[in-house]
Amino acid sequence: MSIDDYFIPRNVKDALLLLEKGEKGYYILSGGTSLAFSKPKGIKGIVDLSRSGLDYIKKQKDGIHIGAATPVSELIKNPLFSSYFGGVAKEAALNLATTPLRNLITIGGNVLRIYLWSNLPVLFLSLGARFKTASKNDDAFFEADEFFSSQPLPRLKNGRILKEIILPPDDKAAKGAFLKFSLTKTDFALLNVAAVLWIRKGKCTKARIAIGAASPLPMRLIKAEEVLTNAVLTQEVISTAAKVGAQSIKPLRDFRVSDDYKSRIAPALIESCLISAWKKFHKDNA
Amino acid sequence: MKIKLSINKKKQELDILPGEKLLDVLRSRGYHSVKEGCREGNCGACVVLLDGKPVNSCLVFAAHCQERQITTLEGLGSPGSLHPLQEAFVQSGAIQCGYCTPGMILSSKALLDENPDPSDDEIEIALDGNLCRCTGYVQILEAVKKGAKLLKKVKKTGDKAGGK
Repeated sequence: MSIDDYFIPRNVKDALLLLEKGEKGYYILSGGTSLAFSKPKGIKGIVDLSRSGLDYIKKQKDGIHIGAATPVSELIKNPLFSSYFGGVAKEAALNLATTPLRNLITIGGNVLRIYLWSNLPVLFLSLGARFKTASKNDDAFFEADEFFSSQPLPRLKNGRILKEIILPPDDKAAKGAFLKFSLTKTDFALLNVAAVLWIRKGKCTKARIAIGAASPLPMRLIKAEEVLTNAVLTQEVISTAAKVGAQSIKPLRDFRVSDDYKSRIAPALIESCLISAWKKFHKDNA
Repeated sequence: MKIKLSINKKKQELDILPGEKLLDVLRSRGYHSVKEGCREGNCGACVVLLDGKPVNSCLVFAAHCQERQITTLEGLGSPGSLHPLQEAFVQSGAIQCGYCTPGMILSSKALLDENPDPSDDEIEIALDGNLCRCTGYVQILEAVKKGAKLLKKVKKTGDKAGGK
Protein backbone atom coordinates (compact mmCIF):
# COMPACT_ATOMS: atom_id res chain seq x y z
CA MET A 1 0.00 0.00 0.00
CA SER A 2 1.58 3.27 -1.07
CA ILE A 3 0.79 5.92 1.49
CA ASP A 4 2.65 9.20 1.71
CA ASP A 5 1.32 10.66 4.94
CA TYR A 6 0.16 9.39 8.31
CA PHE A 7 -1.41 11.82 10.77
CA ILE A 8 -2.48 11.33 14.37
CA PRO A 9 -4.57 14.41 15.19
CA ARG A 10 -5.10 15.18 18.87
CA ASN A 11 -8.65 16.46 18.53
CA VAL A 12 -11.66 16.23 16.21
CA LYS A 13 -11.19 19.77 14.89
CA ASP A 14 -7.69 18.97 13.63
CA ALA A 15 -8.92 15.69 12.16
CA LEU A 16 -11.61 17.50 10.19
CA LEU A 17 -9.10 20.07 8.94
CA LEU A 18 -6.78 17.31 7.76
CA LEU A 19 -9.59 15.53 5.95
CA GLU A 20 -10.50 18.77 4.23
CA LYS A 21 -6.89 19.38 3.25
CA GLY A 22 -6.43 15.86 1.89
CA GLU A 23 -9.70 15.97 -0.04
CA LYS A 24 -10.48 12.47 -1.24
CA GLY A 25 -6.93 11.14 -0.84
CA TYR A 26 -6.95 11.02 2.97
CA TYR A 27 -8.69 8.08 4.62
CA ILE A 28 -9.85 7.86 8.21
CA LEU A 29 -8.36 5.11 10.36
CA SER A 30 -10.40 4.25 13.42
CA GLY A 31 -9.41 0.71 14.38
CA GLY A 32 -7.71 0.15 11.06
CA THR A 33 -8.67 -3.48 10.47
CA SER A 34 -10.71 -2.68 7.35
CA LEU A 35 -8.17 -0.23 5.99
CA ALA A 36 -5.32 -2.70 6.55
CA PHE A 37 -7.15 -5.18 4.34
CA SER A 38 -8.45 -2.91 1.65
CA LYS A 39 -6.21 -1.03 -0.68
CA PRO A 40 -8.26 2.01 -1.58
CA LYS A 41 -7.41 3.47 -4.97
CA GLY A 42 -5.86 6.89 -4.79
CA ILE A 43 -5.11 6.77 -1.06
CA LYS A 44 -2.47 9.35 -0.19
CA GLY A 45 -2.68 9.61 3.54
CA ILE A 46 -4.23 8.24 6.71
CA VAL A 47 -5.88 10.31 9.43
CA ASP A 48 -5.67 8.12 12.54
CA LEU A 49 -8.47 8.99 14.99
CA SER A 50 -7.14 6.84 17.84
CA ARG A 51 -5.94 9.84 19.84
CA SER A 52 -8.43 12.48 18.80
CA GLY A 53 -10.44 12.28 22.02
CA LEU A 54 -13.06 9.86 20.69
CA ASP A 55 -12.20 6.93 22.96
CA TYR A 56 -14.61 7.18 25.90
CA ILE A 57 -17.74 5.79 27.51
CA LYS A 58 -19.74 8.25 29.62
CA LYS A 59 -22.96 7.71 31.48
CA GLN A 60 -25.15 10.80 31.19
CA LYS A 61 -28.78 11.64 31.88
CA ASP A 62 -29.86 10.95 28.33
CA GLY A 63 -28.00 7.66 28.08
CA ILE A 64 -24.56 6.20 27.54
CA HIS A 65 -22.30 8.19 25.21
CA ILE A 66 -19.68 6.13 23.42
CA GLY A 67 -16.88 7.80 21.49
CA ALA A 68 -16.68 6.46 17.94
CA ALA A 69 -13.04 5.38 18.34
CA THR A 70 -13.73 3.27 21.44
CA PRO A 71 -12.60 -0.35 20.95
CA VAL A 72 -15.29 -3.04 20.90
CA SER A 73 -13.55 -4.75 23.84
CA GLU A 74 -14.81 -1.94 26.08
CA LEU A 75 -18.38 -3.22 25.67
CA ILE A 76 -17.16 -6.36 27.45
CA LYS A 77 -14.86 -4.81 30.03
CA ASN A 78 -16.75 -1.68 31.04
CA PRO A 79 -18.97 -2.50 34.05
CA LEU A 80 -21.70 -0.19 32.67
CA PHE A 81 -22.61 -2.90 30.17
CA SER A 82 -22.60 -5.95 32.44
CA SER A 83 -26.31 -5.63 33.19
CA TYR A 84 -27.30 -2.95 30.67
CA PHE A 85 -30.58 -4.13 29.06
CA GLY A 86 -29.87 -7.62 30.40
CA GLY A 87 -26.30 -7.60 29.13
CA VAL A 88 -27.25 -7.46 25.44
CA ALA A 89 -24.36 -5.19 24.40
CA LYS A 90 -21.83 -7.46 26.09
CA GLU A 91 -23.33 -10.51 24.35
CA ALA A 92 -23.07 -8.81 20.94
CA ALA A 93 -19.47 -7.78 21.56
CA LEU A 94 -18.43 -11.24 22.79
CA ASN A 95 -19.76 -12.65 19.54
CA LEU A 96 -17.78 -10.21 17.43
CA ALA A 97 -14.48 -11.53 16.06
CA THR A 98 -11.72 -12.42 18.55
CA THR A 99 -10.01 -10.85 21.55
CA PRO A 100 -7.05 -9.32 19.62
CA LEU A 101 -9.40 -8.00 16.96
CA ARG A 102 -11.84 -6.59 19.51
CA ASN A 103 -8.94 -4.58 20.92
CA LEU A 104 -8.47 -3.01 17.48
CA ILE A 105 -11.94 -2.78 15.93
CA THR A 106 -13.72 0.35 17.08
CA ILE A 107 -17.42 0.68 17.74
CA GLY A 108 -17.68 3.56 15.28
CA GLY A 109 -15.78 1.69 12.60
CA ASN A 110 -17.97 -1.37 12.96
CA VAL A 111 -21.18 0.60 12.37
CA LEU A 112 -19.90 2.83 9.57
CA ARG A 113 -18.77 0.11 7.22
CA ILE A 114 -21.48 -2.51 7.43
CA TYR A 115 -20.55 -5.99 6.32
CA LEU A 116 -23.19 -8.66 5.83
CA TRP A 117 -22.24 -10.27 9.15
CA SER A 118 -21.72 -7.12 11.28
CA ASN A 119 -22.97 -7.47 14.86
CA LEU A 120 -23.10 -3.96 16.27
CA PRO A 121 -25.50 -2.44 13.72
CA VAL A 122 -27.99 -5.18 14.67
CA LEU A 123 -27.44 -4.44 18.37
CA PHE A 124 -27.83 -0.68 17.98
CA LEU A 125 -30.93 -1.07 15.84
CA SER A 126 -32.55 -3.17 18.57
CA LEU A 127 -31.61 -0.64 21.25
CA GLY A 128 -32.72 2.40 19.26
CA ALA A 129 -29.32 4.10 19.45
CA ARG A 130 -28.63 7.60 18.13
CA PHE A 131 -25.58 8.65 16.16
CA LYS A 132 -23.87 12.01 16.48
CA THR A 133 -21.83 13.16 13.50
CA ALA A 134 -19.66 16.25 13.26
CA SER A 135 -18.47 18.49 10.48
CA LYS A 136 -16.42 21.68 10.63
CA ASN A 137 -19.66 23.66 10.89
CA ASP A 138 -22.16 21.64 12.87
CA ASP A 139 -23.22 18.41 14.59
CA ALA A 140 -25.98 16.25 13.14
CA PHE A 141 -27.89 13.42 14.79
CA PHE A 142 -29.35 10.31 13.21
CA GLU A 143 -31.76 7.78 14.71
CA ALA A 144 -30.70 4.14 14.26
CA ASP A 145 -33.49 3.35 11.77
CA GLU A 146 -32.37 6.21 9.53
CA PHE A 147 -28.64 5.62 10.08
CA PHE A 148 -28.86 2.01 8.94
CA SER A 149 -31.29 2.63 6.05
CA SER A 150 -28.28 2.70 3.72
CA GLN A 151 -24.52 2.20 4.10
CA PRO A 152 -23.59 4.98 6.55
CA LEU A 153 -20.02 5.61 5.35
CA PRO A 154 -20.73 7.17 1.93
CA ARG A 155 -23.14 9.63 3.56
CA LEU A 156 -20.41 10.84 5.90
CA LYS A 157 -17.69 11.46 3.36
CA ASN A 158 -18.13 15.17 2.79
CA GLY A 159 -16.04 16.40 5.69
CA ARG A 160 -18.26 14.76 8.29
CA ILE A 161 -17.20 12.09 10.77
CA LEU A 162 -19.04 9.92 13.26
CA LYS A 163 -18.33 11.31 16.68
CA GLU A 164 -20.48 9.44 19.13
CA ILE A 165 -23.01 6.66 19.56
CA ILE A 166 -25.66 7.44 22.17
CA LEU A 167 -27.41 4.48 23.75
CA PRO A 168 -30.66 4.95 25.67
CA PRO A 169 -30.49 4.97 29.49
CA ASP A 170 -30.82 1.53 31.02
CA ASP A 171 -34.41 0.55 31.72
CA LYS A 172 -34.93 -2.09 34.39
CA ALA A 173 -38.25 -3.00 32.76
CA ALA A 174 -36.38 -4.09 29.65
CA LYS A 175 -34.10 -7.01 28.85
CA GLY A 176 -32.33 -7.88 25.66
CA ALA A 177 -30.44 -10.74 24.11
CA PHE A 178 -28.13 -11.22 21.15
CA LEU A 179 -27.60 -14.47 19.28
CA LYS A 180 -25.30 -15.26 16.40
CA PHE A 181 -25.53 -18.35 14.23
CA SER A 182 -22.15 -19.21 12.74
CA LEU A 183 -20.04 -22.23 11.90
CA THR A 184 -17.68 -21.59 14.83
CA LYS A 185 -17.89 -19.20 17.76
CA THR A 186 -15.53 -16.67 16.22
CA ASP A 187 -16.70 -17.05 12.63
CA PHE A 188 -18.74 -14.45 10.79
CA ALA A 189 -22.48 -14.64 11.38
CA LEU A 190 -24.64 -16.57 8.98
CA LEU A 191 -27.50 -14.82 10.75
CA ASN A 192 -27.58 -12.71 13.89
CA VAL A 193 -30.47 -11.40 15.94
CA ALA A 194 -30.85 -8.86 18.73
CA ALA A 195 -34.09 -8.46 20.65
CA VAL A 196 -35.10 -6.11 23.44
CA LEU A 197 -38.36 -6.68 25.33
CA TRP A 198 -40.06 -4.26 27.71
CA ILE A 199 -42.34 -6.04 30.20
CA ARG A 200 -44.51 -4.12 32.64
CA LYS A 201 -47.11 -5.72 34.91
CA GLY A 202 -46.77 -9.03 33.11
CA LYS A 203 -47.39 -7.58 29.66
CA CYS A 204 -44.92 -6.88 26.90
CA THR A 205 -45.35 -3.16 26.32
CA LYS A 206 -42.72 -2.79 23.63
CA ALA A 207 -40.34 -4.91 21.59
CA ARG A 208 -37.51 -4.10 19.22
CA ILE A 209 -36.04 -6.93 17.17
CA ALA A 210 -33.34 -6.64 14.54
CA ILE A 211 -31.76 -9.23 12.26
CA GLY A 212 -28.46 -9.14 10.42
CA ALA A 213 -26.82 -11.13 7.61
CA ALA A 214 -30.23 -11.71 6.08
CA SER A 215 -30.07 -8.70 3.78
CA PRO A 216 -27.23 -6.30 2.89
CA LEU A 217 -28.26 -4.03 5.77
CA PRO A 218 -29.60 -4.97 9.20
CA MET A 219 -33.36 -4.71 9.46
CA ARG A 220 -36.07 -4.40 12.10
CA LEU A 221 -38.65 -7.18 12.33
CA ILE A 222 -41.58 -4.82 12.76
CA LYS A 223 -44.30 -7.43 12.24
CA ALA A 224 -42.79 -9.68 14.90
CA GLU A 225 -42.59 -6.69 17.26
CA GLU A 226 -46.31 -6.07 16.64
CA VAL A 227 -47.17 -9.64 17.62
CA LEU A 228 -45.39 -9.19 20.96
CA THR A 229 -46.54 -5.67 21.81
CA ASN A 230 -49.38 -5.65 24.37
CA ALA A 231 -49.28 -9.45 24.62
CA VAL A 232 -48.79 -11.54 27.73
CA LEU A 233 -45.72 -13.50 26.66
CA THR A 234 -45.98 -17.27 26.40
CA GLN A 235 -43.95 -19.80 24.48
CA GLU A 236 -46.71 -19.85 21.87
CA VAL A 237 -46.77 -16.06 21.42
CA ILE A 238 -43.00 -16.00 21.07
CA SER A 239 -43.03 -18.83 18.50
CA THR A 240 -45.67 -17.00 16.48
CA ALA A 241 -43.66 -13.77 16.59
CA ALA A 242 -40.54 -15.63 15.44
CA LYS A 243 -42.37 -17.21 12.51
CA VAL A 244 -43.92 -13.88 11.50
CA GLY A 245 -40.51 -12.21 11.77
CA ALA A 246 -38.82 -14.88 9.67
CA GLN A 247 -41.51 -14.57 6.98
CA SER A 248 -40.70 -10.89 6.58
CA ILE A 249 -37.12 -11.51 5.47
CA LYS A 250 -35.79 -12.71 2.14
CA PRO A 251 -32.32 -13.95 3.05
CA LEU A 252 -29.46 -13.47 0.64
CA ARG A 253 -27.35 -16.47 -0.12
CA ASP A 254 -23.68 -16.08 0.56
CA PHE A 255 -20.76 -18.30 -0.35
CA ARG A 256 -21.19 -20.40 2.78
CA VAL A 257 -24.90 -21.21 2.86
CA SER A 258 -27.95 -21.01 0.63
CA ASP A 259 -30.80 -18.57 1.04
CA ASP A 260 -33.06 -21.56 1.74
CA TYR A 261 -30.84 -22.66 4.63
CA LYS A 262 -30.95 -19.18 6.12
CA SER A 263 -34.75 -19.10 5.75
CA ARG A 264 -35.03 -22.34 7.68
CA ILE A 265 -32.81 -21.34 10.58
CA ALA A 266 -34.22 -17.80 10.88
CA PRO A 267 -37.39 -18.67 12.87
CA ALA A 268 -35.41 -20.88 15.26
CA LEU A 269 -32.77 -18.21 15.83
CA ILE A 270 -35.31 -15.42 16.35
CA GLU A 271 -37.29 -17.63 18.76
CA SER A 272 -34.16 -18.58 20.72
CA CYS A 273 -33.16 -14.95 21.01
CA LEU A 274 -36.61 -13.88 22.22
CA ILE A 275 -36.68 -16.70 24.76
CA SER A 276 -33.21 -15.76 25.97
CA ALA A 277 -34.37 -12.16 26.57
CA TRP A 278 -37.64 -13.32 28.16
CA LYS A 279 -35.87 -15.73 30.54
CA LYS A 280 -33.83 -12.85 31.92
CA PHE A 281 -37.01 -11.43 33.49
CA HIS A 282 -37.57 -14.78 35.23
CA LYS A 283 -34.02 -14.73 36.58
CA ASP A 284 -34.65 -11.33 38.14
CA ASN A 285 -37.81 -12.60 39.84
CA ALA A 286 -36.27 -15.88 41.01
CA MET B 1 8.76 8.85 8.54
CA LYS B 2 10.20 8.51 12.04
CA ILE B 3 8.26 7.21 15.03
CA LYS B 4 9.16 7.00 18.69
CA LEU B 5 7.87 4.05 20.63
CA SER B 6 8.84 1.58 23.30
CA ILE B 7 9.55 -2.05 22.40
CA ASN B 8 9.97 -4.39 25.35
CA LYS B 9 10.46 -1.38 27.64
CA LYS B 10 13.27 0.05 25.49
CA LYS B 11 12.63 3.44 23.92
CA GLN B 12 13.35 3.44 20.21
CA GLU B 13 13.13 5.71 17.21
CA LEU B 14 12.34 3.85 14.02
CA ASP B 15 12.41 4.95 10.42
CA ILE B 16 9.35 3.43 8.75
CA LEU B 17 7.12 3.82 5.72
CA PRO B 18 3.68 5.28 6.51
CA GLY B 19 1.93 2.19 5.11
CA GLU B 20 4.12 -0.43 6.80
CA LYS B 21 2.52 -2.95 9.12
CA LEU B 22 3.79 -3.46 12.65
CA LEU B 23 4.42 -7.17 11.94
CA ASP B 24 6.88 -6.36 9.16
CA VAL B 25 8.60 -3.59 11.10
CA LEU B 26 9.14 -5.83 14.12
CA ARG B 27 10.38 -8.82 12.15
CA SER B 28 12.76 -6.69 10.09
CA ARG B 29 14.24 -5.38 13.36
CA GLY B 30 14.94 -8.89 14.65
CA TYR B 31 11.84 -9.59 16.75
CA HIS B 32 11.39 -13.00 15.20
CA SER B 33 9.03 -14.32 17.87
CA VAL B 34 6.36 -12.32 16.01
CA LYS B 35 5.21 -14.82 13.39
CA GLU B 36 3.60 -14.20 10.06
CA GLY B 37 0.59 -16.46 9.61
CA CYS B 38 -2.58 -15.57 7.76
CA ARG B 39 -1.96 -11.81 7.48
CA GLU B 40 -5.73 -11.37 7.87
CA GLY B 41 -6.12 -11.18 11.62
CA ASN B 42 -7.48 -14.70 11.89
CA CYS B 43 -4.68 -16.91 13.24
CA GLY B 44 -3.07 -14.91 16.06
CA ALA B 45 0.50 -15.96 15.20
CA CYS B 46 1.47 -12.28 14.96
CA VAL B 47 -0.10 -11.20 18.26
CA VAL B 48 1.87 -8.63 20.25
CA LEU B 49 0.81 -6.50 23.19
CA LEU B 50 0.00 -2.88 22.36
CA ASP B 51 -0.13 -0.94 25.63
CA GLY B 52 -0.65 -4.29 27.35
CA LYS B 53 -3.49 -5.49 25.12
CA PRO B 54 -3.16 -8.27 22.54
CA VAL B 55 -3.56 -7.14 18.92
CA ASN B 56 -2.92 -8.68 15.52
CA SER B 57 0.25 -6.90 14.39
CA CYS B 58 -0.49 -7.82 10.76
CA LEU B 59 -3.43 -5.39 10.83
CA VAL B 60 -1.74 -2.57 12.74
CA PHE B 61 0.03 0.21 10.90
CA ALA B 62 3.42 0.74 12.52
CA ALA B 63 2.78 4.50 12.45
CA HIS B 64 -0.24 3.91 14.72
CA CYS B 65 2.21 2.83 17.45
CA GLN B 66 3.79 6.27 17.78
CA GLU B 67 4.42 6.93 21.52
CA ARG B 68 2.99 3.55 22.51
CA GLN B 69 4.39 0.46 24.17
CA ILE B 70 4.87 -2.82 22.34
CA THR B 71 5.63 -6.11 24.04
CA THR B 72 6.85 -9.14 22.11
CA LEU B 73 7.83 -12.52 23.52
CA GLU B 74 11.47 -11.36 23.54
CA GLY B 75 10.42 -8.96 26.29
CA LEU B 76 9.17 -11.67 28.63
CA GLY B 77 11.93 -14.12 29.34
CA SER B 78 15.20 -15.48 28.03
CA PRO B 79 16.44 -19.07 27.51
CA GLY B 80 18.21 -19.00 30.86
CA SER B 81 15.41 -17.32 32.75
CA LEU B 82 11.97 -18.18 31.47
CA HIS B 83 8.90 -16.15 32.35
CA PRO B 84 6.49 -18.21 34.53
CA LEU B 85 4.08 -18.50 31.61
CA GLN B 86 6.83 -19.82 29.34
CA GLU B 87 7.80 -22.27 32.08
CA ALA B 88 4.16 -23.36 32.40
CA PHE B 89 3.85 -23.95 28.64
CA VAL B 90 6.99 -26.13 28.71
CA GLN B 91 5.91 -28.07 31.80
CA SER B 92 2.40 -28.66 30.39
CA GLY B 93 3.54 -29.88 27.00
CA ALA B 94 1.59 -27.05 25.43
CA ILE B 95 4.07 -26.59 22.60
CA GLN B 96 4.45 -28.77 19.55
CA CYS B 97 5.61 -26.93 16.45
CA GLY B 98 5.77 -23.71 18.45
CA TYR B 99 4.50 -21.37 15.76
CA CYS B 100 1.45 -20.26 17.75
CA THR B 101 3.25 -20.20 21.10
CA PRO B 102 4.44 -16.55 21.18
CA GLY B 103 0.92 -15.31 20.46
CA MET B 104 -0.59 -17.79 22.92
CA ILE B 105 1.73 -16.69 25.70
CA LEU B 106 1.22 -12.98 25.07
CA SER B 107 -2.57 -13.35 25.00
CA SER B 108 -2.32 -15.35 28.24
CA LYS B 109 -0.11 -12.69 29.81
CA ALA B 110 -2.60 -9.94 28.96
CA LEU B 111 -5.37 -12.02 30.55
CA LEU B 112 -3.44 -12.80 33.75
CA ASP B 113 -2.25 -9.19 34.12
CA GLU B 114 -5.91 -8.14 34.32
CA ASN B 115 -7.37 -11.25 35.91
CA PRO B 116 -4.92 -13.40 37.93
CA ASP B 117 -7.52 -16.08 38.62
CA PRO B 118 -9.49 -16.65 35.41
CA SER B 119 -12.21 -19.23 34.90
CA ASP B 120 -12.03 -21.78 32.06
CA ASP B 121 -14.49 -19.67 30.05
CA GLU B 122 -12.41 -16.53 30.56
CA ILE B 123 -9.27 -18.35 29.38
CA GLU B 124 -11.07 -19.62 26.29
CA ILE B 125 -12.30 -16.11 25.44
CA ALA B 126 -8.82 -14.63 25.96
CA LEU B 127 -7.32 -17.21 23.57
CA ASP B 128 -10.12 -17.16 21.01
CA GLY B 129 -7.90 -15.29 18.56
CA ASN B 130 -4.98 -17.72 18.71
CA LEU B 131 -5.18 -20.82 16.57
CA CYS B 132 -3.11 -23.93 17.26
CA ARG B 133 -3.06 -26.67 14.61
CA CYS B 134 -1.01 -29.15 16.69
CA THR B 135 -1.93 -29.54 20.31
CA GLY B 136 -5.72 -29.45 20.42
CA TYR B 137 -5.79 -26.71 23.07
CA VAL B 138 -6.18 -28.94 26.15
CA GLN B 139 -2.55 -28.56 27.24
CA ILE B 140 -2.62 -24.87 26.39
CA LEU B 141 -5.56 -24.26 28.71
CA GLU B 142 -3.75 -26.30 31.38
CA ALA B 143 -0.62 -24.20 30.80
CA VAL B 144 -2.50 -20.94 31.39
CA LYS B 145 -3.90 -22.28 34.66
CA LYS B 146 -0.45 -23.49 35.69
CA GLY B 147 1.00 -20.14 34.65
CA ALA B 148 -1.52 -18.35 36.84
CA LYS B 149 -0.38 -20.45 39.81
CA LEU B 150 3.31 -19.89 39.07
CA LEU B 151 2.78 -16.15 38.73
CA LYS B 152 1.06 -16.04 42.11
CA LYS B 153 3.99 -17.94 43.59
CA VAL B 154 6.43 -15.52 42.00
CA LYS B 155 4.59 -12.59 43.50
CA LYS B 156 4.82 -14.22 46.92
CA THR B 157 8.43 -15.36 46.75
CA GLY B 158 9.95 -12.99 44.22
CA ASP B 159 11.36 -16.04 42.42
CA LYS B 160 11.31 -15.12 38.73
CA ALA B 161 11.11 -18.69 37.43
CA GLY B 162 8.13 -19.47 39.59
CA GLY B 163 9.90 -21.66 42.10
CA LYS B 164 11.38 -24.01 39.53
